[in-house]
Parts: sequence; structure tokens; C-alpha cells
Amino acid sequence: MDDYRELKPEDLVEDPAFRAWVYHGTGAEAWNEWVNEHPDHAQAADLARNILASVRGELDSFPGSEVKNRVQRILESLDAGRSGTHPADRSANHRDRRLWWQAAAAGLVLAAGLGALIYTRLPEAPAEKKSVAFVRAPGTSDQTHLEIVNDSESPRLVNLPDGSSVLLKRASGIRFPRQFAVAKREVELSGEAFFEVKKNPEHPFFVYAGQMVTRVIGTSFTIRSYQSDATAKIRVKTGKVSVWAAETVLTASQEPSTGIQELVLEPNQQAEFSRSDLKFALLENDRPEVAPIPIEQMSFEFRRTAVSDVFEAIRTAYQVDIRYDAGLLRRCSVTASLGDEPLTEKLNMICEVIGATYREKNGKIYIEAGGCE
Amino acid sequence: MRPKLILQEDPVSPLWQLLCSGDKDAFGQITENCYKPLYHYGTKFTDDRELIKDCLQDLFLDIWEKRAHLSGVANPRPYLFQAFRNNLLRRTRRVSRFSEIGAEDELEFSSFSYEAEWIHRETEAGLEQKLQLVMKQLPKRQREALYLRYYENLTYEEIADVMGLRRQAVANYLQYGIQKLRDYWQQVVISLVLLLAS
Repeated sequence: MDDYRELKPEDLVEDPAFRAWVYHGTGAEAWNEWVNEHPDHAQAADLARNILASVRGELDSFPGSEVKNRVQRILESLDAGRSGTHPADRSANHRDRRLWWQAAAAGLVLAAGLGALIYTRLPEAPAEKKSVAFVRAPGTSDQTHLEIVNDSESPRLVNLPDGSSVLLKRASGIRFPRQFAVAKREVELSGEAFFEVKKNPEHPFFVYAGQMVTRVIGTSFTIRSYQSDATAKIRVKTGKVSVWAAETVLTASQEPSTGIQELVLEPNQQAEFSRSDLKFALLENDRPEVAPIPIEQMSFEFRRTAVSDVFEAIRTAYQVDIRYDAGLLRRCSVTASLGDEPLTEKLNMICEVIGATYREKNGKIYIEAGGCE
Repeated sequence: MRPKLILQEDPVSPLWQLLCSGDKDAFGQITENCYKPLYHYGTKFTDDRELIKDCLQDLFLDIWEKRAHLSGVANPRPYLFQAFRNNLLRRTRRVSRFSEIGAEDELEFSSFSYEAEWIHRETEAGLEQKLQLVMKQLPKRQREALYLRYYENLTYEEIADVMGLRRQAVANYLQYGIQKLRDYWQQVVISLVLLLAS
């Protein structure tokens, strides 16, 4: 019966079941159902979530494996006696850093609530428009991070600081540091995007999409993770990626916790991630499910191809404007296998072949070359 | 009906007496169970992660050494929070005497919330200042009490023990804390809606 009286945010804050959901993802399925069935309580739930996020603040990720390590060390020093128990290895270099993306992940949760609220209040929002789960006004960035939102119908190219390319599809957003951390490259995705990750085994690349974590070394793939969909999808074009579920939306993990399902995907495989039970399923169908964009199906294999055709392929793939002197380059041809290299790498390789250089200005690529014999 | 939580029994309590009688497995399980929550609690007092880990190591080794005398502890989880808090505060004071950071800075129950900060940045200056003020008005002990109550699920009495307060003080902290946060977030939502709709 208590569903019929007015529900205050404080009631939810006091409810241990609600807190277990917000903080640890416990009972997510039942709660999602409840939220769907009680749209009139959405505002109270959003407020309660935000209050709880404030109370929690920012927390380090602390993987189960590290806890086990620490406990092991304590147990070992029990046997060793007290003398060797004070670790002298305290060094500033080994201090855990607060990770920006944890905060970002926390922001995402709260954004989900607020975003929905805001979009439902805007008078002219088209019904089918998918909301982008960042709460800030689209495209806002800060000193350390860039956030890019594509609210147009055509894909939008985003060049990451390491030279990796991202094609953001409609109603999607990506957030990433202006400069990647030394050890790893981390981006946060809302919506759908195609990635070409620059190969760099020492610096693995992570994509956090809600509770789905994807780790790649260098490869190309598509992630589809709209807040409004019950499932997220990932499809690999080249290379290998591994995916798993973060323990909770609030604490994205850098490696799967023990007992968590990890799935390794190979080219042309795709998997579906259920937000409610946090499980992955490999999809039998190996075709892209929803409106693929050209780049997802292009091979970039060129055999003595006229350079104008190569540039045309690049233009189609990345939606960038390439300016060059067609007359000067009419005799140039390219033989290259550009596979899943990001845009900047592709341009470098093409320019190498035809003895040219390129520069980017106002989103346009200018090729400067002397021509070919 | 709202989803209900099946209450799980605190895994530490049943193991405690085993620990006190010298069972190393029980000790390991308790340590594993409490390490992360205590670590996170520690990050609210200091940014020095190595210091937190040192304190945790010392804490658990102390527990093991004193195990024979600890069978009277009726409620081990809050006891661990309290002991850890005391150790950490003592150590931060000691460390800070030798470092440039003043003890007062180190003792701050800090890092209010990232999301609140960027929300601030998105709102207009006048409103922003007002909201900043609201956040700063939350005393650090109030923030700590809120964290222990809602994130760690401690009871009023347990929080009073951990923080060395009277139960009524805890109740007041919590009541006004939640009220302020609610007003704050309500205001943020309204201002964002206005911002985006304009």
C-alpha cells in the first residue's frame, strides 16, 4: 500500500534495499522494473540517488585481487614476526592515484537520472530521440577532460589524444582526458561509436560504457550502449577485445573481479550485454545489427589505387573533408593495407607513399605534395 | 511494492570469537572482508594511500596480537572502524608534523563529491556561489556521519562509538545533513532544467 502515498527522496535514502542498489547494483532487475512501473516516483529516485552519490563521494577502485594481496602480506608477516612488518617501501611513485573515470562513472549514474528528467521536461524533444547520458549541456568540457556529443544524424569523427579514431554515431557522447594517463588510455562512452584504436601494447585502451568494460590493445570495433536500451552491444571488426561487467556502475574495474564473466571477442563476432543481469551472450548473427556506418564494412586494402579514390574512401569513412591538388596528384597511386589504423595513421601512411605531408585546419585535411612521377 | 533487501548477516561477527581463540583462517577472512571498506573510509581523511595501507596493516597485526583480550568486543565491525580511525588520525598527526601539510588539512574529512563540483561549474555564477556555500556549511563531522550511516550502514549508536559522539549528536548531524543535501540537489535540478530550456 505504501506505493500509493507520496514518496519522498528521504524515504528512499533510508531504504537499505535502495542504497544496496545504488551503491552495489544489488537487485538491479527488480529496481529497474519498479522504476519503469512508477514513473511518478522517478524524481524522488533521482534525488535520492544524487544525495547518496554525494554522501559516498569519490572512492578509489580497489580490485578484489589487490585486497587478496594485501591480506596475504598481513598473514605472511604474522609468521615472520613483528620485526619485518613495517613496509619501508613507501614511495610517492607507488601511490594510488585517484582515477578520473571513477568519478566520471559516478557522474554517469547521476546523469542517467537527471538526463532523463531534463529530456522529459523539454517541450520539443522528439519522442524517438535517445537521450545522451551526460548531464552537462552537450559538448561541455573542463580543464582535464573533453566531452564531445554528436546530436546530428551523421557520424562525427573524434580524434583521441593518442591518435585513435572514434566515429560517434547519432545521439552519442564520448568523454576522455585531454592527455591520456601514462599507464592506460581510458574513455567513457554513452551511445554508439566505432573505434579504431592505435596499437600500443604497453598502454591498453579501456572503454567504459555503463557497466560494460572493454579492454583492447589495438583493434577496431563498435560499441552500442544507449541508456534507454536494455542491452548494450559490441561488435569486433579486427583484432581482439575482452569485455566484462564492472561490479557496479559506481566502481568501474580495470580487470574483471574473480568470478566475473570475461568474454574475448574476435573479428566479426558480436556480443550482447544485458544491463539487468550483467551477463554477456555471444550473438550467432555476425552481421552488424543496426544501421552500420560505412567504415564498419570497409577494408582499406588498396592495390595500385588512384590516390583520389583512396582519399574518397577516407572521406566516406571518416566524414572529413580532404583538400588536395587533384591535377598534381593525378599520377599518384597507393598500394597499402590500412586495415584498422586510425585516421591519423592512415594519412601518415598514404602521405609516406606519395611523398606528401598533411595538416589539419578547421576540421579539414590539407594535403601538400609535389606530385608523382 | 518496492524491492526488498534480503538482510545478510554480518559475516564478521560469527568469525570474531574464532579469531580471538587464535584461528588464523577466521582472522584472514575478517581481514579480507573489512580491508576495502576501511581503506575507502581512510581515503576520506588523507590522500596518502600508502599511509592508509600501512595503518591497515598495523591495525590487523595489532588485532592479531591482542586477540586473546578482544573476546569482549560485542560488535566487531564498528570496533574495527573505530580502531582504524584512531590509528589513522594519530598517524596523520605524526606525519604532518614532519611534512608541509598542516595537521588541520590532513584531518579534513575531505573530497566531498566530484559530481557536485562539476554541477557547480555548469550553473551560473550567482547560483554557484550560493550552492558552494551550502556545501561548505556541511561540517566535516557531519559528512563523516552521513558516510558511515548511508554508505557503511552503521547504526546511530555505532556511529556515536566510532566518532566519539553522543547518539543525539549523530541523529542531528544525519537529519540536517540529509535535509541540506536534498535541498541542494533539488535546486541543482531546477537550475539545470531552466538552463537547458532557456
